[in-house]
Amino acid sequence: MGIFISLEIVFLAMLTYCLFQLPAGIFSIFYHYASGKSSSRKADGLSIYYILGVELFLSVIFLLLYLIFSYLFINIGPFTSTIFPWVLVGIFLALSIASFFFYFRKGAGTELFISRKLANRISANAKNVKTSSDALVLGFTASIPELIFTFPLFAATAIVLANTTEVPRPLFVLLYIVIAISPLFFYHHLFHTGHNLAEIQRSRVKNETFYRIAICIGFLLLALTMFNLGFYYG
Amino acid sequence: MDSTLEKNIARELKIDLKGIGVPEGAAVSFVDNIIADTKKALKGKNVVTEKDLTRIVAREAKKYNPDLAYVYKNRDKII
Repeated sequence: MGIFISLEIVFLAMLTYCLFQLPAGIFSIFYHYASGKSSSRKADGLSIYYILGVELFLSVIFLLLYLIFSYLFINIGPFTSTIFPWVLVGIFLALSIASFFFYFRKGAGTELFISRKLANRISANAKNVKTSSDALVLGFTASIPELIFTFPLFAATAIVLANTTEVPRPLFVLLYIVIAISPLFFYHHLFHTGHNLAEIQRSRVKNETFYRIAICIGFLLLALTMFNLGFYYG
Repeated sequence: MDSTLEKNIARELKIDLKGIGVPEGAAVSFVDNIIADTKKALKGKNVVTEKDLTRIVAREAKKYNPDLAYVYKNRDKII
């Protein structure tokens, strides 16, 4: 697999992941209530553990998938010569349609597709974060409900790394780490520089259509890239 | 409005006000005024649902701080 196409897949997959709203939404709730119940300084301290928790989850998922795909492609041959690119084309096409119509619920606010009972449970947990371990666990579990949309993104990244020998893998891992959690640092910066939950939430509501379209396009571009891989390299 | 409910609403409003950066002195004054206005708005109503109460508190809060009203009304619509 060529270096440019490998970089393209990792970059696209992680950019698309950045557009998903659950970890950022949970972060907004958690930071607002942490600074409301104690202080901004404590909220700042806890937010680092939240981001660490999210990163830990991404690392665990990535490592598991990397091990599975490395083993798989040693035994069955290179990724591009298998049926996998075509399976991923189908999955990404389906997700592009599903994310456009179903990721955000209809109505006011930025309610997501997850059940209201689960959303209320997550909100309640986010509102009651007191210690760094609470924040770490909250961060670790923040991305789990969205796995139905984001799992193929992690799979595509792991497949690329399992099949690439031309570029140092640490470069890809760095891309994966930095891009995936950059929205959380952005939200942290917004809160830290004086923006409050109302301003941030109004901005999220205003940009909901943008997120919806951008996620759809991200999945479509990934489908096209996988199609090229399967067609030209397979 | 019974005293437990009043205390819960006051606590939530104080947390929201501190979270959006309102100083403590102003926050205490806002909360007292919002609770008083909410009680006036609820006079004569026999049955009030949780959604009605949230809507009324947010409406009264908007007079003192629009950001507080927005956060209070939309706190369950973030995720």
